[in-house]
Amino acid sequence: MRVRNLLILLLTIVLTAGLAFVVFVGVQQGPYTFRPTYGLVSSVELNGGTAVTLRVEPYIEDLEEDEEKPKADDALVLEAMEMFEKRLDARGFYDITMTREDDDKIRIEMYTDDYEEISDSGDLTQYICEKGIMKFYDVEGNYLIDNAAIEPGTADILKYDDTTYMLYFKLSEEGKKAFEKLKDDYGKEAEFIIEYDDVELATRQYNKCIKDGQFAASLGFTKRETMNVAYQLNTGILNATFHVEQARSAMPTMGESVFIWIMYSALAAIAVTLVLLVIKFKGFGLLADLVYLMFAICLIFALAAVRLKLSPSGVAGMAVGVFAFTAMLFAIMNEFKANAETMSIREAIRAAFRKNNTLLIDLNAVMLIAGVVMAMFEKSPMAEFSSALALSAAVSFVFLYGVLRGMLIVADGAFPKKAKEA
Amino acid sequence: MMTQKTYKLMMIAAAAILVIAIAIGLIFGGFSKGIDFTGGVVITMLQPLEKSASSYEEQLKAMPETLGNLDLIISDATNTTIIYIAKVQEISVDLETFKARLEEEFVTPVNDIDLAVLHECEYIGPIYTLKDCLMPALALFTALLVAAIYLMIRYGISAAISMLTASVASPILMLALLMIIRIDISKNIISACFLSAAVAMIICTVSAIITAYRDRTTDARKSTREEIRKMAQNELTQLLLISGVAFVALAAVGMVFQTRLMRELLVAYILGAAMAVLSSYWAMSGLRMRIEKKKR
Repeated sequence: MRVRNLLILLLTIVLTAGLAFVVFVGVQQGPYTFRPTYGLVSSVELNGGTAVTLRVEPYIEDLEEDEEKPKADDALVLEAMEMFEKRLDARGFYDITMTREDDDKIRIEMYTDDYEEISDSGDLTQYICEKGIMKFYDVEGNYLIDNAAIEPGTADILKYDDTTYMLYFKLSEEGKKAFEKLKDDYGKEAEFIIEYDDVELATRQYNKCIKDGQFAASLGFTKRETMNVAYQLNTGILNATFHVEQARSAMPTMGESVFIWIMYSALAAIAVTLVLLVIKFKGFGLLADLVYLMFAICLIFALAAVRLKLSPSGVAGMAVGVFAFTAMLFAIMNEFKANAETMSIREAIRAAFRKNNTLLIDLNAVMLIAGVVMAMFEKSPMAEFSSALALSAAVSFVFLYGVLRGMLIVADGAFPKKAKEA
Repeated sequence: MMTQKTYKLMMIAAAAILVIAIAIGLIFGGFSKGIDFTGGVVITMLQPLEKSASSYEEQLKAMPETLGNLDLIISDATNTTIIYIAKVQEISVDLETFKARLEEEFVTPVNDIDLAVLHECEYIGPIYTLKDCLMPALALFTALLVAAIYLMIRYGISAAISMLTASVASPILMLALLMIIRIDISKNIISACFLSAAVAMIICTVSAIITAYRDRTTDARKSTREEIRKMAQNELTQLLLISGVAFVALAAVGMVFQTRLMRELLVAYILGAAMAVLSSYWAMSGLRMRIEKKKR
């Protein structure tokens, strides 16, 4: 029994060390790399990114060159901002700061890294600023249909071969009717012209592109370009033109040296807590240290898993979560220590958790509620704070109720004499 | 023993401190807006060898073009030193002239081998306006309100009101103090407000839980209500002192940051946490007693 409990303790220590290695250093297997903390540090504050300021103008077809361009109104600028957000969200890009400048300008700052498909301001503007208007004409130049031909949300990319990618979408009822009419007028091999954002892309044949209400055709684009078109078609039309007023790299305001100092500070804070736990609770303090370290590592893992950024608000949320965990840990250990003097260890554990039951449930519930409600305001730039707070509450509840309790019981089994002496 | 007069005085004193702090802050000129709100000039130097960021700060402040009292945020990233000047109007010449002066002042050969390069010197617009702070404030207040409703269901109206009051008061107090000591308001400071409110929320929740437990388990014939409160408060204080040490350690180590940006952020965090503790104790002892006395 004692040996079994000792083995469990040893295994826990080894697993904790292993998890710490995986979380902070990462592992690589063939082409796959797993680095949870990579996501934490991939923020504009730490690594910089790209920043672009765009002036919005309403899109007017056939506007003469010498004609005065009208200024964008409030509604158009807000619509453009919403569309940018949709398009960037669709591709999973995060850490985007979008703000309005003057009456008709939008500034976008976003983190970019070498592995994503937007690596500079040129890529960014190309992706988000396309109007997304696709038009179809017959070979005589008669207008057939536009985006109304596309079933919303169905645009996608198909691989034809190593170099050819096709745009795919399902035809809407309107689209089916338009192409059926084309087929009736000109036959199965009827040709039609595809135009995207006023640029003629390709001429294709009906029988080679359309079947069973589905459309698939190569546009002569690369994979990335075809994917961009698919995302743009799915997120809707943007009836505006944009002029790049300023495009630059957004430099990191925190930088790598600051990140290193943050880690030193966090380690110092953890070290002080670990020492206090041992001073106050002696042998069981070491156990509490192990649980504390496991909590810290698992919290970082959980935060990295949800792609939280190590911005000041993320750090603030983590600090609050760790503060609450520390308070609850000390409350339970205090009660346990007091009871262990007059009761058996098992009874002391039960009594400690019984007394602090409401503390564990209610404090974590309050933090979780606050975090979830704040996270619902998804446009808030303090989203990292709310995510960190809510996750800390969830992880601390599991660790205090499950892991700490379990470890105390295992320690009692492993060191029965020492437990009675404590 | 606390009398009704004492509670009244405590509440008046607390409200007075809040009003005086805000008034003094406004007398000192209101919020000092950081580059996030004002925009400014960004200067980026690229250098092959690491050079201390503070040497740039001293040299820049000494330049007559920068009017001597420049507000700088400097950070180091590998071999790049980025310098933001918060207030555009604190450059007495136009940008092109300033760029030329920077080239003259900073771009010098080092050991005749490596050359520092002025990468960019240009205006950047503000990222946030005060209107952009309304959404986070609304998010925070709504979250606190929902949490207060939960506390009200579990521990009564006094716990809820004191938590809500403390959580709202602590960031306000913190901002008032920042106004006085003239720390720039930036996105980082706003995160410190969130920290302050959350810490106050946690302290008040723990207090409510401990007090309710004491109420339940202490014989009312042997201890008065005030004595029960005092026991709960002592227990809470002990808990906070121990768990707060780690926070202080974190802040203390972080204070050795070379960048002014991080030092100011940590000052805001420490202030935020301190205001949270103060406002929570005030809310729990003064306000809560008052509400419970009225209820009885």
